[in-house]
Amino acid sequence: MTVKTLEYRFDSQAPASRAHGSSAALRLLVPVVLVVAWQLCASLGWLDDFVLPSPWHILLAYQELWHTGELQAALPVSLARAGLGLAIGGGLGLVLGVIAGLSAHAERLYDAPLQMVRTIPFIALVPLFVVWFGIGELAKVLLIVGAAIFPVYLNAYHGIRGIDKKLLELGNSFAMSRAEQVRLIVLPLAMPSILVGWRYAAGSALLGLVAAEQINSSAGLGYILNNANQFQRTDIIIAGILIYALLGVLVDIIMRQLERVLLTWRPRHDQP
Amino acid sequence: MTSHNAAPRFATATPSPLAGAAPVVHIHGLSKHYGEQTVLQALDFTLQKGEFVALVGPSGTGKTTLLRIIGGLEQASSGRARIAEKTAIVFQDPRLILAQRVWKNVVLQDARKPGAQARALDALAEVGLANKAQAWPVSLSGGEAQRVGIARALYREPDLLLLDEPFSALDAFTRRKVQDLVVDLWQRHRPGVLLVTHDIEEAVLLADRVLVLGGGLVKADVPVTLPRKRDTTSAEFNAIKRRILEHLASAH
Repeated sequence: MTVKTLEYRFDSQAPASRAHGSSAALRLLVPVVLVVAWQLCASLGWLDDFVLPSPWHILLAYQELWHTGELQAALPVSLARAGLGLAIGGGLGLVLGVIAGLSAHAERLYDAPLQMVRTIPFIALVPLFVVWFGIGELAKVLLIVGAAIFPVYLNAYHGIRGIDKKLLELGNSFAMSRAEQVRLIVLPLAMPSILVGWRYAAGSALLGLVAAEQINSSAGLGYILNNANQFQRTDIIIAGILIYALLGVLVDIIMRQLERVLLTWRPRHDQP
Repeated sequence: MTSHNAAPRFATATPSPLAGAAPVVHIHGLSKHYGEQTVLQALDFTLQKGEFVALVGPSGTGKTTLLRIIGGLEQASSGRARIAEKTAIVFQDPRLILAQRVWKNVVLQDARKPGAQARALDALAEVGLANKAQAWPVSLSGGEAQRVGIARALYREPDLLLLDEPFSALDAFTRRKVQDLVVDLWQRHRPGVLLVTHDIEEAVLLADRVLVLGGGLVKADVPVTLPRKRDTTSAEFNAIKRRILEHLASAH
């Protein structure tokens, strides 16, 4: 028989802060290495500046956009489009999802048609929306609404359907009204799913924004990209794409914080 | 005390034949069918306020169905039942709302009523969980969660307390502590208690009367007159246990 001896010393576990710091460094490692390699290749002349400008040139492009005031003008316009579309679409999805989750009648009434519409890739609707709503703001915002509505609808619906029926029985046996059950049991317990829905919807709205801004924009990030395309400014195109990416990351961080605040009751899985 | 007011049930407003006493459950000729299957068959049963009754029987004999009918969670097929209006249930699983703090699980829809939180703290103190009022349910142990379930019932100052196998999911050590707690609370507040259990020893340990259910009927009504802080190893205790087991053997 073999016996294994495990020895523990009080300093064998790293302090929490150090562990946290090293995990953050680990997360940054790959992106930093990639950017450094990219710049190195460009500096050594291995990259055609027209095809793939160096990170340094992209930074200069940001400086240029800032000085001309284009960036400051474009960002609020794009954010307002995405925000408005997300608020309307997500709100609509939430209301429909909650009602369908609570009422079998409502579910039978509109779940099937919504599921059918959901399978259409919303980007395919761009030409149709241009015909119906023109090339103005309406078509753009409606496209984002369409992108944001389904993630929230689906997740709210499934979140509510997934609640343990025994808890609703508890509500009945303790003489809670239907409204009290919804307020105290159903919505708080469905909140994790609802927030996941909003997170997907925010990403989807951003995608909708990119697609919508291809429609003859006269302002916003899409306008900068279209212009850069016409003048063959690859550096500005990449700068614009990176802003979209940055917005995506930002939205994710905001949603995570929101979950942290709203879901304090859940055991935390996101800690190292 | 009036007839239970949940749903248009079979309860009636006619005076109880036992109007002088204080029955918190009075059932007459109660039947329950699921399709062809008869679960309860013209059952008669009365439970007084302050009385602790245990309901035992082989599984599938309708113990839980009877408790659920009394608790207003199911409808009987026919018969008549008068049930105290202030009735509270403790379930087998604690059934806590994980998204609400412990004290809000106790008060439920009363959270905004003045004094509700103070009364919840009193109820939690009675089950020894005053310091957990602000905790989230996920942080509780199994025994603590079940005690919150008991506090939630206690908060409503019930005349009738329904216990649906509330100890069966607890480990042996915790079970004894929670059983003692329930007896203690019952002696202090004197509600009528109906305990559904399949543990004969538990029934004899806790109840004044043990009803043996079989074939949808009350097969036997065994009084337990032993003084409390009962000794499960005593000869009298085991004699009662044996009697109940004999009734159960013939209950199939």
